[in-house]
Amino acid sequence: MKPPVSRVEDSAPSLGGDLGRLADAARRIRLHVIRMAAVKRVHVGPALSIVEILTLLLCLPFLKRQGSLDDPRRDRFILSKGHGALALYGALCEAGLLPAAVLAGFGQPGNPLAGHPVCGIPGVEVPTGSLGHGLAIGCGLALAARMDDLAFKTVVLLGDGELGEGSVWEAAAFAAHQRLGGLVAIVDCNGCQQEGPTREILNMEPLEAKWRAFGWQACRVDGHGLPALSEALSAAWERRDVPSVLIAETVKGKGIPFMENDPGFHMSWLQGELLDRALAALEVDGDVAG
Amino acid sequence: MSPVELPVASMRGACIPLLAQLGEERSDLVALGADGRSIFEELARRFPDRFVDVGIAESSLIGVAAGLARAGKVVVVSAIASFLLRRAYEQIRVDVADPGLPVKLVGVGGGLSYGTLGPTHHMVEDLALTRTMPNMAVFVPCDAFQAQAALRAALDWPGPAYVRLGTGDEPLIHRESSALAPGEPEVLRSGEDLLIFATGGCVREALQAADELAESGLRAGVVNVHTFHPWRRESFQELLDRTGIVLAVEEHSRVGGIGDALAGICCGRPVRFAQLGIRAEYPPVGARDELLSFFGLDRPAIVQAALRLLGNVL
Repeated sequence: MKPPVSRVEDSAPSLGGDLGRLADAARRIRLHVIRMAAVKRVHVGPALSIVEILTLLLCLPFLKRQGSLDDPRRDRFILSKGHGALALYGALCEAGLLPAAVLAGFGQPGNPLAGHPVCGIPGVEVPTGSLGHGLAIGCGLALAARMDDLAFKTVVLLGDGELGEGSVWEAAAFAAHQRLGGLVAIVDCNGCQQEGPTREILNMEPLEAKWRAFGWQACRVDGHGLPALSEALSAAWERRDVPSVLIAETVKGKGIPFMENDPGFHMSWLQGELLDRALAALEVDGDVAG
Repeated sequence: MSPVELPVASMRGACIPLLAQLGEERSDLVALGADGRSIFEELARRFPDRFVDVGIAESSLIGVAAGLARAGKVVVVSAIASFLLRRAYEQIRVDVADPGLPVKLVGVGGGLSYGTLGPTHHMVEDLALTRTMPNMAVFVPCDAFQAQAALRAALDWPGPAYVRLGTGDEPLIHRESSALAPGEPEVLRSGEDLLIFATGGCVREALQAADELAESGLRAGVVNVHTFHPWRRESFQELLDRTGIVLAVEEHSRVGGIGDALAGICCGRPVRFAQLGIRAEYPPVGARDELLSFFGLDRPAIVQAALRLLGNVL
């Protein structure tokens, strides 16, 4: 088997002096989420926990588009926890991949943005919504990269509750067995699934040990700390011999204090005072249309 | 008169050299197995970089296939039909069928062909499951020659496809491999009194039943339904109208297979119609032929059903 072709542009990007710009992008992505949650009942908490991860992947960006979205060399991203869709839409918008007008029309008749990333949304590589599917698809993409001597990365973002799906572990075993170094998994470890704390419903800890036992390079990282997250992603980017996983410690509802760690905000429709408080937390006046 | 014994061949065996040939013809063809690689043995020998065994993991099998297809590959996957479609149903529906990806599913051991291995290995609802999926072509060849034609037709189909194969040696209905016209009913034998529509292993039973009916002077035609999607409704309508007496016979659940498909066309037409299929019942231990008898799908049962249908009008 031939080793993947190495190219200069495949190296991990550096955070450099971008911290302020990226922190701003993250704040705007949260604002997009809150504005969409003002339109109708949507998944809010699970979107807010992945904002920094998506900011680095799409706005730094770790994920290279190469020539275009059709370029076979482009990096791929799969939001396996499809219920984080609102953050993905916000990040795609901040990255210039999804027109702001489409985002502004969320919930209106004819708007393509569903509660999960469905087929046909600009910038969405793989539609998702049913948990436990993304990692195997990512394996297929990483396998194709190796077959075609392409060096693109495939990144799959999973929820920690999603790890209860057995299909995740079928794919984890496959990726390690095939030594798919082009595959990076990120677990949004917010510790809180729809009905309550993940540790109380189906405890999958210790996660690093589990992934390592399957043959993955694993590390635990602050999923909201841009410098730490960037460093961990860079390390994963450089690994080419085995798949890597980041166990990203996150907070469900992150950034909106009254939502944090409250499973009641797994889905929510923010109206009236709740909306005002959420916008205030992001230092925005009550002008939703803004 | 005892039925004429037909020469036999294995559908899977017939597909082994064809898959290698298809691999030669298409450099984008990739094959995946789930601890079942015999059908790919020649392909894998000739193109070792284009075959991967994912292990006993059907969900992963389909997910990996979907990823490969998204990267531009045409993917042929094969597994025991019951595990492939039951275990990985959601992955097939969501990750392959909905986006219309070119993943070709080859299910081995369709119908009751695994016989004494028991009901975990029988697959009698595959047509119902695949017919309801968007974009999915569905082929049910009746012998080894037609299995080759079906596999090629599946590769030519732009999106996902399912091909139901049997297992082991089965009678040859055709004398050679010829192209299959997707969606068209294949008239194997014409007859003015009654038309028997059959699929897969039941085609042989239907032909033998037609022989037996001929001894009584009854002219029963036999139509092989080898495709469920695409489906040339006009061609079926024309055949139904020609005789007006129709019997559907399938090694499949009575729900969602050829009987239901034909009933939908019969509705509102002056057609006398009956269907034989598998009832929802735990089967006894038995070889395929014994199970066909148990479910009333063998030659004597078909003859009886045909006589009942004809008796109603004679």
